[in-house]
Amino acid sequence: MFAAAYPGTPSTEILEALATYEEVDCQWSPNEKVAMEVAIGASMCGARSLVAMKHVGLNVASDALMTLSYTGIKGGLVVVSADDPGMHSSQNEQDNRNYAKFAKIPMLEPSDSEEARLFVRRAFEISERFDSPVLLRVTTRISHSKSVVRLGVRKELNRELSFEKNAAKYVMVPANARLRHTLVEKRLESLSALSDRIPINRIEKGNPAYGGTLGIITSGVAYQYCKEVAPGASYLKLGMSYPLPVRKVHEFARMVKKLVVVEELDPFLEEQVRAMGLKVHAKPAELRCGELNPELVREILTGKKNPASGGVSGGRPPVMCPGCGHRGVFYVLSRLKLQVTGDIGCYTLGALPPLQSLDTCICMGAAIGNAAGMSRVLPPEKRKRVVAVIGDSTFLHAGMPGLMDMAYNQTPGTVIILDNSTTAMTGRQDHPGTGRTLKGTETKTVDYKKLCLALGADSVRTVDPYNLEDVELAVRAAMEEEGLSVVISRRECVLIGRMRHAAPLRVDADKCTRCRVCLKLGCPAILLNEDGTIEIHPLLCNGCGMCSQVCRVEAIL
Amino acid sequence: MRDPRTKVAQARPAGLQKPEKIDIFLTGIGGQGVLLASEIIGEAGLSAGYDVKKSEVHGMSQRGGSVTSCVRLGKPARVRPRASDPALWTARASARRPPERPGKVYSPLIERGSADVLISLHPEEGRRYRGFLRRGGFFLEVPPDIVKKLKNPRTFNIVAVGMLSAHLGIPEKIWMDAIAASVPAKHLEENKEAFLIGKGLQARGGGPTLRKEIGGRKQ
Repeated sequence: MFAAAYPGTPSTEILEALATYEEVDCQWSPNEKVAMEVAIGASMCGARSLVAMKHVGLNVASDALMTLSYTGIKGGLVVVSADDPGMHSSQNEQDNRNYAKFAKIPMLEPSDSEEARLFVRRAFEISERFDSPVLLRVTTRISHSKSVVRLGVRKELNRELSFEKNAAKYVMVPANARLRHTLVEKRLESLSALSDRIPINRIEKGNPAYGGTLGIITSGVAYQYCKEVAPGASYLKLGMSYPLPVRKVHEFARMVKKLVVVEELDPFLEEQVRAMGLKVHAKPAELRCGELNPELVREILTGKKNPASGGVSGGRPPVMCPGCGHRGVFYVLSRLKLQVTGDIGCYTLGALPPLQSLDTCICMGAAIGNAAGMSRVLPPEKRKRVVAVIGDSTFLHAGMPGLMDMAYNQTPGTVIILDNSTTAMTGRQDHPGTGRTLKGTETKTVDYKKLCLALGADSVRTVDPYNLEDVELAVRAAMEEEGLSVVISRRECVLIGRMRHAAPLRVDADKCTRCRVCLKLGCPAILLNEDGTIEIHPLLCNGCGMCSQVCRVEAIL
Repeated sequence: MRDPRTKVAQARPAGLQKPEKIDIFLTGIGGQGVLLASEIIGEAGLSAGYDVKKSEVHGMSQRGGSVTSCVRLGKPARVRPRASDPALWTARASARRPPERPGKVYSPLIERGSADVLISLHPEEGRRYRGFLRRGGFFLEVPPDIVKKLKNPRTFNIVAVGMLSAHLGIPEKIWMDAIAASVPAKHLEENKEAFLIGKGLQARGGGPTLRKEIGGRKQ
């Protein structure tokens, strides 16, 4: 058994948990596409392989997936896509069920922990029986919930692993791919038949006395919300939601008086059921945005709102930790009033007040490409104000081609790599720059300076973001250069080891003029009291000393 | 991984006061240990024979943001039907029990206005999520001063677990085992102590920390 992934909420814990099983070979890959390709290689030799990623990660890996659908597999291959309806920690809420249809591969959707366990096994079986990768689609509420699980019996496969040449299957040149495509279409027909007979697509007959004449077609966590709200209704519970069980849907429609589809995000099931010529009720279009919950499902089913008054007021936005090295860089960038193209990671929080110095965030690696594009079209005096920031893990994931692009096309500009030696936002996972693998063994470490120079950067500077003056000097100098400059801001994430940098600082109330300049750092350890005095929380303070550097009257010691 | 079947079979002390379904909503901020507290409550519930479902939101919350977690406990036999919308039933059916698997918890999320207990580790967060409490539900707020009595201020979250334990009727041993299963061995004793401090707060007749919310949400 082999598994690979790049961390991403809400998929990260899958590989972290799997890695605790010694006998499963697990790895972090630099990005989802590589993870998928490595899994394909393992599968080609007969090993059962699993690759996990968040929804947007599948965009990165989709190049491999679309053709993997043609080649098929040897050892079962399961692709886990963890979607994030409601965008708890994502830049969009795309519905990856569409990938199953797009890639013409079967999809299973567990609705709780027990089904997740069961469906992974089913997915491997289906994969091997139908020579197809299988998409296992979960959402945040499946990933980040726990429910009771039965322990199954392990079955060791003990396969002999080897690669057998088979160009017609594995070499997707046009002549071969054309033949494989016809097989894909045939496979979809057999999968459709499977969907009709597989027990995880089940009809639960309701009691007519309790609303059983209402028929609900649903899958994933939406099933649980429906059962909560309408326990007496009849259900077509789809464990395998692509391809749809056409006969079962028709049979179910005949059983009930009113047919409703309840699903999160896109009208994926709804459109297909309508295409079968059935009259079906579904949620209003505005509920295609955001995640469902029992309350919204109640509204969908009854048209009535929850009488409970009062929503959740206000908000508590996430902030960079006390002692976070990113703060030093963003403080300088905000002082210099630069235009900052940003990327995905903790440092995206640099967009929030009071730092407010990150101006774009599209996708992994976009910071460098975006800065390059700006640099290409802006006049020289404006171009000088653009800088890209990108984290270490994100740079290795998708930032390198952007830097190469700038070097190759002789696009001038400055790129700041925020190296905190971890994939911080998802909970501190290792990557090729940390010197450790998922299994905890020591390994080779990327040398960012050599790497950037090799890609074509004209200069590389390394600074410690705890030293604000150094950061400012380095950024200014880099931006004054004509060519392509890189600044590496290196400071380990404070959550690694959770060590305090130095003794907590305190404010000398006699010296403090209450000018509030220290508040511009946005450090959660610096408190503004109601009487206007400033205080540093002794438990929260990490002792990084940035605030004492910005204080004009040396009141923070 | 534990085998839940054995756990269900073992814990059934006689005379246990055990409500049929309990929805517990926890709230606090990143770093306070909301998730560990909900983990322990879930473990204890499972050991005491409840069906357990637990959900949480993290990711960005690790950075000091708002953290919430729902723990839902369902007694595995003989359960009052959960109030479901009458519009989904016919009129004559309302007196009977719906054909629901008894005690099974479905949704991992708790609806607004239906939590039996709201546990707040942070006053502001407690206020924000107050609307999740049902009428007559318990609002358990850990008094911030209690931190002075704790050997390790990080065990603040376990005080909340202790406070809750006073209302659930799950034996103390089950709680202690759940704590032992969830915290590092070297911190076990201070966590156990925090649990007992929390339990003590409730045992003394509630005091300022237990406010039974008659009417739940103020309209």
